[in-house]
Amino acid sequence: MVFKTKKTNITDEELLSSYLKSSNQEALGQLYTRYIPLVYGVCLKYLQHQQDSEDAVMHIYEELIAKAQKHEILNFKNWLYSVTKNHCLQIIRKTQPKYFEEISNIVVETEPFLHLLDESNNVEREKALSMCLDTLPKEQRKCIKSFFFDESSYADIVLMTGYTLNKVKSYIQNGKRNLKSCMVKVLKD
Amino acid sequence: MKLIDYIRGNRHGKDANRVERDAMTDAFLQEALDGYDSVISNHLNSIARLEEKVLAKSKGNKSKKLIIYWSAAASIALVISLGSLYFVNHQNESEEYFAKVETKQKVENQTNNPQEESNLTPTKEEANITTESKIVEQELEKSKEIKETKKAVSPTKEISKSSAEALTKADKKTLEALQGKVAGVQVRETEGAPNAEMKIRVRGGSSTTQANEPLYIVDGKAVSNINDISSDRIKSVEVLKDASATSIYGSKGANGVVVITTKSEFGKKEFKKFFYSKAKKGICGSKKASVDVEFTVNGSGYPSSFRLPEFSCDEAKEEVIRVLRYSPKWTTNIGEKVKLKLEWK
Repeated sequence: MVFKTKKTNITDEELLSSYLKSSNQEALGQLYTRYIPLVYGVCLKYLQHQQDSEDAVMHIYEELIAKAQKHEILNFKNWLYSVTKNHCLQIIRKTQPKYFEEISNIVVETEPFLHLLDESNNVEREKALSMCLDTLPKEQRKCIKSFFFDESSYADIVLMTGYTLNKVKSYIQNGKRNLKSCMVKVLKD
Repeated sequence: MKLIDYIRGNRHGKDANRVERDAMTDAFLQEALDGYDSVISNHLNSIARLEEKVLAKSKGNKSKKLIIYWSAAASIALVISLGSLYFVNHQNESEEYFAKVETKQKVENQTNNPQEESNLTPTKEEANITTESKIVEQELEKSKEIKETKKAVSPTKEISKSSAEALTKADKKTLEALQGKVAGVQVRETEGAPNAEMKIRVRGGSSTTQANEPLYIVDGKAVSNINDISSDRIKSVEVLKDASATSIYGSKGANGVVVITTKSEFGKKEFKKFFYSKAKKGICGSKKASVDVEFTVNGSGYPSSFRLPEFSCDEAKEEVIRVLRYSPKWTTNIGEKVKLKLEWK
């Protein structure tokens, strides 16, 4: 672990440009290694198979070597995410051509919601927040409070409440949505 | 590394919470976590293995490059030396060649009877020539035969194709649609009534005693009539006549063959089949999984606006939603609500 922290002082951009300027493949390897857990995880999600996902991670590395020179990469992480997804989708299309269609069902929250909860400098906001929290169904309120205010993890909340993991996730998701729309209404007035 | 710990299985405490919150704004992280949750395996082993491979590869390429440079240099040197050797020897070579030819001829002559040397060699050559010419003639005949059979096949082979576009433009039924569109195909009504059965006759069907009905093949299966196929389901129609029909379909094709390919359907039945093939088994443990689902097939043919009023366990509900999202394009119920009950173990 100590060995690793030394290298994390260098930024992604520095490693990437070191590779581009002097064909220093070691730098590219280091950079990629930082993202292996993410790349591997995404491959697992799409390919649903351990060995195939490991192979995919290595193939994506080779793609990286080839493409890094050609394309201008503004944000390495985002670019790597696209490359990973496309690679996996391509594989799936080959093996299941009939039944595959592209889905982007990832619900990614935009920053504003977490700001609502963290930056409570604004007194008005705080009031609105506590008011809106009370309007939530009790399960949603419980989960949101534990997750955002007590910093409990999903697993913690499961133990505390006895709800299943998926229920906890959906309470939090729905609770967020309800809170957001409530806050928007209240703050308008 | 917090992510590594989370993957290892440390799902409790503030660090875990941090990872989960980050995933809400980082799609890459979210999808990776989904992956680790959905596949059970020793992930840390895999990750460590991958890290080793990548680092080894990135370092190994340095020495690879050196090897490439050296082997390139070596091969160039080799080529140059071979080339110079060739040039040096070139002048001597042509002399050697002629010397060899002369000695061959001398050797040949000597093997024959030395006394009748002058007579034998010419006749031998003649013999060689005649046999050669015979071989050539035979080959010429063979190629002639091949050409003739080719010609023989082509006049009888006729395939009239009518693409789906020509047919679907017509609003009438299949048989009516064929009328006048395909050469040599005559469509007749049996009686005067407008919706009476239609019959197809393929020109060339010549029996007076037996029915002159052509053979109908729909999607590879023989059917007795094609009245119930609507023309908008037709992808293509081929009409085969004479020898090609009988050579492929036997005596049944004596009155011609009408081959119809339809567009394949995807509706409730097909979706259920698809679902049961894709759904994870044993998802509610030992209990049977049962889900009632309602959705609308949108204008593009995909399920949307899902509603799941009843489900036997959370995981089953999620599974149905997951597979619904992967549904292929529907060809029926477009714009309509669909209700399904899905049960599986």
